[in-house]
Amino acid sequence: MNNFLKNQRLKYNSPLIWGVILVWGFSQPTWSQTASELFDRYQRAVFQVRTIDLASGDKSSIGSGFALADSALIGTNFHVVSQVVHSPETFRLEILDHNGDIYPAQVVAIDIVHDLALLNTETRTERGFRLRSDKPKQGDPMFSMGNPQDLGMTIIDGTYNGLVEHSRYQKILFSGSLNSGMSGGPALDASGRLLGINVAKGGEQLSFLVPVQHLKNLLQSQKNDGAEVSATLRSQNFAQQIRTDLMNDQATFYSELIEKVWEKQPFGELMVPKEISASLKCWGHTLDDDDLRYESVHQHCQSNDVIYVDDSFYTGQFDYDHEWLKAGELNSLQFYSALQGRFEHTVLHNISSEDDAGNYECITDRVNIAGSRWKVSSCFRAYRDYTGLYDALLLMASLDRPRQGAIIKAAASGISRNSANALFAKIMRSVEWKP
Amino acid sequence: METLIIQVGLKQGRSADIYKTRDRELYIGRAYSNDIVLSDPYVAPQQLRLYRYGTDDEQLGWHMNVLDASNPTLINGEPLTDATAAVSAGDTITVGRTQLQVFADDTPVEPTRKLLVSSWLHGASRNAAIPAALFVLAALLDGVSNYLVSNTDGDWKAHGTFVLTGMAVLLLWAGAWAVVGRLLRHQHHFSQQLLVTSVVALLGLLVSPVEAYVEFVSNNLVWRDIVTYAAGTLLFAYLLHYNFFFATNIKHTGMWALGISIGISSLTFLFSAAVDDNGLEIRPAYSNTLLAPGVAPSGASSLEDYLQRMDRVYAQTESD
Repeated sequence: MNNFLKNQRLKYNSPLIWGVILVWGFSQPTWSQTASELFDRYQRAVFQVRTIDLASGDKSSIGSGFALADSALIGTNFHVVSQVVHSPETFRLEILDHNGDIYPAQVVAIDIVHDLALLNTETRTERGFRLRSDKPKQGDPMFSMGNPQDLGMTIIDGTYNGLVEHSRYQKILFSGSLNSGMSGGPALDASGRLLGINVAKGGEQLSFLVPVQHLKNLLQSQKNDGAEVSATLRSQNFAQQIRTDLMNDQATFYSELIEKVWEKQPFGELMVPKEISASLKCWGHTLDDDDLRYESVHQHCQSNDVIYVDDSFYTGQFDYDHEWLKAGELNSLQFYSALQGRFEHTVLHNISSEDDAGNYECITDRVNIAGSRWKVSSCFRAYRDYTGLYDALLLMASLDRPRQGAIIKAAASGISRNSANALFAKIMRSVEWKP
Repeated sequence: METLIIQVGLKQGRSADIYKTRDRELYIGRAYSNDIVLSDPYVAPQQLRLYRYGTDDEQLGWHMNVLDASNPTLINGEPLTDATAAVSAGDTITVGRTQLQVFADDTPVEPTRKLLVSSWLHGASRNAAIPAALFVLAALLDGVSNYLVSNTDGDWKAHGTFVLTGMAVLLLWAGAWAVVGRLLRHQHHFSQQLLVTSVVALLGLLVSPVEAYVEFVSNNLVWRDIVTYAAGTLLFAYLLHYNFFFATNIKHTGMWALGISIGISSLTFLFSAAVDDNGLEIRPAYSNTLLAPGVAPSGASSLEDYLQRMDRVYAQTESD
């Protein structure tokens, strides 16, 4: 899972790492020159975005934001300002400019699916970022600005490496080292045009950016909405909009998945669907532990990105898992114990707290599918704030063969009733024993 | 009341001392000169004199004279106000920290309790062969059935440890009740305790697949829980009943055992419900029994029927 770059409770960072970055930076004379020019030119257009806890008056989290050339608004990530969006009665926003001046700010538009937000504030800068509309070439140098760990405004360099493959939500792969607190900061090409927005890091020199196209879309829809509204109404509207965005996003993803013809492939003695979506990452492995007295082959596909709702609530995940087992040295009873152990082991990688979702309700039965008997459990829990969305789980275990078995699992978080019903029906119908 | 019968000490469990006299008087105290010597430091060297007195033969009755009032003397829980009081069958006299029960020749006694079928069960612990055989049988059955049904990794060590732990628990349980019997009845009856413990363990092993059958047939965890709790409660009550029977003299051992067993089951249920309810379910609970030994997976629903029922589950999640 990606690490979002909002900085909460600032952590001490090893000076060694900073040393390495500095040395590496100095050893690249052309880039560092461009970086210093860019920094000089644009440092006035980059801000620290602070979420202030109203009760203590202190900052609860920090991120970055940037000014735009054709708009008075400031761009940042949704996850940088999410506390204010969800609890405007507990938090407020302010931005800190390069002079150290502080201005209050308000969220005026959000795109939860692509993790973007637009802020309104009094401060004006004469030089905002222009949005680049064409695609760079893979390997082009890139720069990212932001305020990591509340240490001050920085610029880092790296390489544009195209869009992330196998991803449900388009992201630019930036081979550079983003750090906590840089979320919402701008990522630029060598001439200072905006390419993306810092959003997450995946590891050493592995960072992710939201493509600038999504910011364009948000600016456009904001222009269309236009109207000034009160903070309370805005907050209600945001909750409604989050629900609509999540609903639409899942509808698009799952309807495409369901309408598609699923190609089948042999898996043990079964025919199962081949990779059903290019946006999923699939892995396979065989358990070959010496102590294991049965055979087990796995195929696991999962969406690698999630939608951030708040610090304890992520959604938008989709996983499925095929497992083929043969009794090997086990007798039938032992084999079914092993099968049962695998059937009990649920996969749902979503994160949510008690405030976000209710408890699971399950329906379990033996079901006749394509002439074979399966034990099928489907479980659902409803989201509390976003009516009509569920976490849904499907588990199937084959019952017909005493010395062979299959376990099929699928899990979707933030899915509607219709999508889940259709998806689970399609999965159930897609599995059959080889003729 | 011609004969005075005095029982010293509590009667339950421990055998009490009983004094019987047809004399005219009787002294009670800590000094060895008394008729009843009480080794209670709160009793005076000579505290009470009991004597027969009356105007004529028909009126002749027993009375009590307090000779030393350092500590109060109580009759049926009430302190004596006068130095003299009448004493009759059924009274309880308290001196110091000792209780004396007064009986008469014709005080009714409890009807004779029936022995268990075999008098062997009540004898001293002579023959340990049958309990030991049953104990080993229970351990073997547990080990073999568990290995054949659920040991998937061939780990003999872990499996052996599991079986040995089970045997140790049974032995400790029987041993603990033997200690209770030794304390309360002066007889440990370890063989008998081991016998009932092993029999109940065997019954438990025979009953345990039933919960899997119930879950397999019903696909329902609630039914499984009901069967598990009911079977567990009854078996434990059965075990306690015989533990009480051999280790104590209490009446109505069956009712006591059932009451305690139901109490423990209810507390266990309430505790697990409270733990479950403490926060969000990370994992959903669903029936996961895939096979009940010897039962064919017959009676499957059609996919359409299942999908329709699946759709109805949403209504339930929303009403939470």
